[in-house]
Amino acid sequence: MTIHNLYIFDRHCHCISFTSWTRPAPPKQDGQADTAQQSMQATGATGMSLEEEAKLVYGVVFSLRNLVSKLAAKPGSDGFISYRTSTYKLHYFETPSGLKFVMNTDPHAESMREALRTIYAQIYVEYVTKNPLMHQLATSGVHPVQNDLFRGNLQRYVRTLPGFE
Amino acid sequence: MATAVLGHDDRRLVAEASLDFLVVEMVDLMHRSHAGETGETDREAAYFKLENLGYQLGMAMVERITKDRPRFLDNLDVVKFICKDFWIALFKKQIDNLKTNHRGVYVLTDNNFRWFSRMSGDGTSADISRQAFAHLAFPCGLIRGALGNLGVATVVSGEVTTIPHCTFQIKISKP
Repeated sequence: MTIHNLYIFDRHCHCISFTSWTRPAPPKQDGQADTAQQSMQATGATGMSLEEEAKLVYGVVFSLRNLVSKLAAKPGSDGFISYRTSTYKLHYFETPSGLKFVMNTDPHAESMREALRTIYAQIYVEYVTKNPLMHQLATSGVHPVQNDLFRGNLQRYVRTLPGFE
Repeated sequence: MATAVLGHDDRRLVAEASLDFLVVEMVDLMHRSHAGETGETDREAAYFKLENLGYQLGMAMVERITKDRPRFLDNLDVVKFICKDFWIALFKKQIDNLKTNHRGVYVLTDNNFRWFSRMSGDGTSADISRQAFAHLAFPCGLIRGALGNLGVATVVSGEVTTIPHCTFQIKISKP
């Protein structure tokens, strides 16, 4: 089972974090003006700019979630959890605070819901919400999720997931 | 958090996370309320206020913790009490290293300071150490208050080089 990448969206629909474990497809055009250093200029998983791709992913997830919630009969059910195509499987986890975790794996993966929940509870809450420098990071323009402890622990945790290569 | 040391009934518990959040927010609040019109924070004033907060709190805490304890023999005994019982009551661990020059200067080293264990940023560790300095005001005040209420007038300063390693320097004031 391979884990391809993980997107984290905040309550305001911005992509605050994108981590990729497989190499992205080569970009379609060469010589893109890539002088800026902001993360939004970086390429996402498919080679287009991260900002564009994050918007597309968020759109897909948002529409599917609305669709599923309208179709679901039980009011207390989880709603949209994952979808699978012939090439990949997308897992979705949303917290009550509006934080959205989207993870893409290969199509034969089992449910990653518990893994996503652990990423939220043990890693995001521990190293982002409890970071004393959170406010200072926010005022200097960087989202508090961009910190070394969070990145390191996320990498370490994902590598322990079953079947990760 | 200090109920085990105080020997009270510990069926009444408080979530530790709420204390961590409170301490973090306290430092941020002090800096926000001292941000001048030009945007420059008056760090000195914020540090002073936080240290005094810690002083009051340290004085009160040490009253409770030493309730059933026999008298202290000398200053070294008081400092050793801070390193052991006081730190255990606050952070569930002891100070890792105590150095003294036997002339009124003590250096306490904590290799994994609890309130710094979740601290990290995106820049260099020098940047983070600078930002962490503001978070040292409150613990310094705690130590100064504890020592003050036990009869030892001191000046306490803190230093952080690499997170979560930090040192506190206690200088006993001459009467």
